[in-house]
Amino acid sequence: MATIAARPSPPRRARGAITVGVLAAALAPHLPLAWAADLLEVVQKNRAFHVRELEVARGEIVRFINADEFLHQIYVKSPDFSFESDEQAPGKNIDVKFPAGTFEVRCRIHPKMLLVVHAK
Amino acid sequence: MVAVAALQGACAAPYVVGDRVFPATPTTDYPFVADAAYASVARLRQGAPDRATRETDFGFGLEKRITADLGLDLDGAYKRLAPGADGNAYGFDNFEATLKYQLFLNDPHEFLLSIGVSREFGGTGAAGVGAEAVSATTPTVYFGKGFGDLPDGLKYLRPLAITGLIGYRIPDQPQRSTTVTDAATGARSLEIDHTPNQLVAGFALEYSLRYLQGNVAYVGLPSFIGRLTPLVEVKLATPTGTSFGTPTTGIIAPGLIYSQNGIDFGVEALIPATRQSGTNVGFIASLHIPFDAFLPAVASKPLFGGERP
Repeated sequence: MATIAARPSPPRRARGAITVGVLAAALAPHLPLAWAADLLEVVQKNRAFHVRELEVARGEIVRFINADEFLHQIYVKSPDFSFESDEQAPGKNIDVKFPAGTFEVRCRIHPKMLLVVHAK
Repeated sequence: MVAVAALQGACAAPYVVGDRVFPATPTTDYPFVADAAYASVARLRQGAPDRATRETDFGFGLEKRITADLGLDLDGAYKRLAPGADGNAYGFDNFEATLKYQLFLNDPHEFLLSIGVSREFGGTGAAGVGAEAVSATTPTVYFGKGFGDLPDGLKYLRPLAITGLIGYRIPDQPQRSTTVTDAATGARSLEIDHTPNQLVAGFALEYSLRYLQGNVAYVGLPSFIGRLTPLVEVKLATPTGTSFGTPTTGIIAPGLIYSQNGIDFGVEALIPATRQSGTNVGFIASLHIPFDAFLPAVASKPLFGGERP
């Protein structure tokens, strides 16, 4: 799938946290999502997602970073997976773990925002 | 990339023009077609305080898009009139269907123009609660305009938007005669009911705090407050030509709409604008729920064709 070429800039991966190792893995169910698996960052800026399409590996978590000066929100509506975040103030993050499938991520505040997530 | 291109065509949702997401207004019809269900309860008191009639309306309806821009709206209401010593009256009001078409949309200027025609089915409601026996047709023009295109110097007015409608209600039978027999004397008389044509209009002026924080400036409002849209609505109906005693009625309705997850909950005070419209302040509470909030996503798509580009 030729998704990478369409990205204005590559998604930022934050794998450092995972080096905590076996202890983190054992505690994963009790820790915040960010510590439990790899992170794939999506930046919300200028009332848009910085990527239009995203591939997510199994177990990977997508972190939505509001780098905008405005309020954001994200939601997913599909038969297999629904997600509805609270409003996201500037500088705030939202972590989402997607099940396998293809999903449209939208913003109720900015109806033109669209991100397609392909989760394996 | 084929998948993305196809999905981006589906980006436009109902109630959206450009960056503007219009909420569903409780008192006046809005210019959009949608896939949604709605319900409301309204209460208004009419007449002198010592012998006032309390009217309570339980409204309900369904909206379904046939194409991306053509929609059908079916609605009705169950009414309760409580005149006090004379006993209460209950029953359905006439059912009504509206076919609406979104004629013109301009995203940069957040402007929408729609046309529609409503049909009130006379005799489907109970005469005891005032449902008319005569059907009527109302061709209507609807519009919506957001002010997101105002210059920077007026940026705090960008959350303002106005929606409205102007229609002309034409009864099937402007004049209807019935023979009445006096039970005591047996005398028969002819009663003639006149139903004049009416000009109907409604406007909603709203200020979206969500638009303010999402498109103008984040001001740190608490979540609950940030989901509110203060608004004032005005609704009028006036006979054209000879009125035959049909009064001009009007309601001024200031209130708030709370929007979350696509669901709009509105509350408004109902202030009679004329003496014939009521004598006390009433209220309305309404709930507007898109189908995708409780049904599979397929129910929220037009029956024919895709979403508009």
